[in-house]
Amino acid sequence: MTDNDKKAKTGLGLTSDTTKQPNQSETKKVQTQNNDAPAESAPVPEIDQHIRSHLGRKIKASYDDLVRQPVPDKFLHLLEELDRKENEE
Amino acid sequence: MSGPSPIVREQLIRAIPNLRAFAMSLCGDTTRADDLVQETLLKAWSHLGSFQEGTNLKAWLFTILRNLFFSEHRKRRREVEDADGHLSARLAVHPEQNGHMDFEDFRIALKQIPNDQREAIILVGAEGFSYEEAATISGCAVGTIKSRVNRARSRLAELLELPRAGDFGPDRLSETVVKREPVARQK
Repeated sequence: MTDNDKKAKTGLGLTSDTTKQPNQSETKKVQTQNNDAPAESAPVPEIDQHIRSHLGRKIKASYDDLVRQPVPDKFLHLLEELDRKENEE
Repeated sequence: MSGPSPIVREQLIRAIPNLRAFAMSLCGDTTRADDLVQETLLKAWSHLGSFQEGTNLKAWLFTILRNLFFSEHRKRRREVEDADGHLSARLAVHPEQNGHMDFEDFRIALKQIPNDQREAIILVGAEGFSYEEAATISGCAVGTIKSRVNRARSRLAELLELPRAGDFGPDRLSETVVKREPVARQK
């Protein structure tokens, strides 16, 4: 493991205090909520390669459409505000 | 602590549209998605000191966002369960969603699959993270991500009533693809 890897891991772990993974029983609850969702261990039927790629393109196109939505100015303003506060300190 | 370097700042700004798309995909609600993005940016900013330049900033930001989403989701669910004794219809399809109507049928299907599967298929299938990166972001094993992606695909195919293997006519497929995908190809 390189130094960078270690640091990346530390960085990725920083939110673990507020945001730990769901435990077993919580996971089960989530599954009962979607009561037709198969349990994590149940076998998944294989889907046809054509359907897979068709679905893949749909997922990507639908997501890219969201990525292209105009970003509200408030986010840039937020960063400017954070910059400004830091410069004052 | 001084602010982020211009490079990191630029990366942060460039990640915002993707963070919004990811947040909208997770919660299906524009207002809530924007709140999640804002919280993510604030949290990221205050922890930038621990972020190593050159490592994957986007993956780090996605991790923060999904952790915020899942902890908030658990909290909300408890509140809803306390109030009604069971899950309310609030988790049903929410009509408010940005984006083009062409994708509405797909987005409705996406909302019907479990959160963890939706997260996995978006990270891998839409955002283009590797299985390994997605596993790090979601804090689970690579095998778990693969399994969730498979389940998501299978469930989406069912919900969208895509033909089963065998009776899948190429004509029907290409017709849909031609109609649906020109936007994606421009990229």
